[in-house]
Amino acid sequence: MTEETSLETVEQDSVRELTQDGFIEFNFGVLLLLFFNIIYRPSASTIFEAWFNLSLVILCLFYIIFAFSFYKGFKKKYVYPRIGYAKLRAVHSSKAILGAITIFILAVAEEIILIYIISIDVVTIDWVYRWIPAFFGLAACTFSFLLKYRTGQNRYYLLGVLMTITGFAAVLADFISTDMALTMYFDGWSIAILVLGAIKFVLFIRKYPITNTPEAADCEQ
Amino acid sequence: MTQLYVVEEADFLFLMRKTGLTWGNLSSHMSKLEEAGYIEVRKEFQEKKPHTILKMTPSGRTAFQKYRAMLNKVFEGLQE
Repeated sequence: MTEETSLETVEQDSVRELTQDGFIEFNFGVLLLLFFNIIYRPSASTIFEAWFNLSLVILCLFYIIFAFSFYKGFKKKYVYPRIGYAKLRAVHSSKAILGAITIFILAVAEEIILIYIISIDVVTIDWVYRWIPAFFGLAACTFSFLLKYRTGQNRYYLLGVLMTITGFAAVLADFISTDMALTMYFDGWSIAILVLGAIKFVLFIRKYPITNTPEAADCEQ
Repeated sequence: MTQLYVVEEADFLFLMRKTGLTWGNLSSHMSKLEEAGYIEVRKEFQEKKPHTILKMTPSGRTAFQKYRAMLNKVFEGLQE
């Protein structure tokens, strides 16, 4: 094992330690649920639906603005007294930067190709809607590769693989409508990931009791 | 030092858990590193309790990199 590898292992160990509270999964689940329902919700036909759609947009904006400070406060109260606090370094290795640039170029190329083939009537907009779960599943692989790279845990590959397989299954399941396939795929996955995050947090709370540090104990005396 | 090198900053509890050192032992190590200018110590209050955060300084990072390079050379020599 080289020196660089062992440093990477120590870093991955720290990342694993700090991400076992389930916040990443919970956050991803909430964002997926909100974004899908805002973007894909059919246009409102009643006042109630219009209010519901507007509430979703407001909720999403509030979440984006306040989630960071809320999670920070929540972690200060429930996570740091248990496992301690550490701020992770930003990913700045050349490998990670190259990976991010590649993903960005591929995403832009995919959009251009998609717009082009729609414009020349090779595919219809319905076809694109139908294939969204499969494309999203492939995109989710990048998220799982990033988690694998940061934590060193192979099980994160499973998330990407499962999201891709179910994405293709949703595309190929002709017996359900496109609307139903999209709703089942996105709502199903976001709720599953959200619940996974919540379970991880409960297990984390049970596993690690609050540790009283000597400096805090001195202060209490 | 390695634990502090791989993160931006960390508190005593995190380092205690990762290194397996006791509070007193870690505290004495950190005092020496602070005297040498290798780490910065920041004290703040969290839930009305004192909270100490440690961060490696740029000179600490350079010293650590040099130390690693030196160790690598030693091990290279052993392999021959």
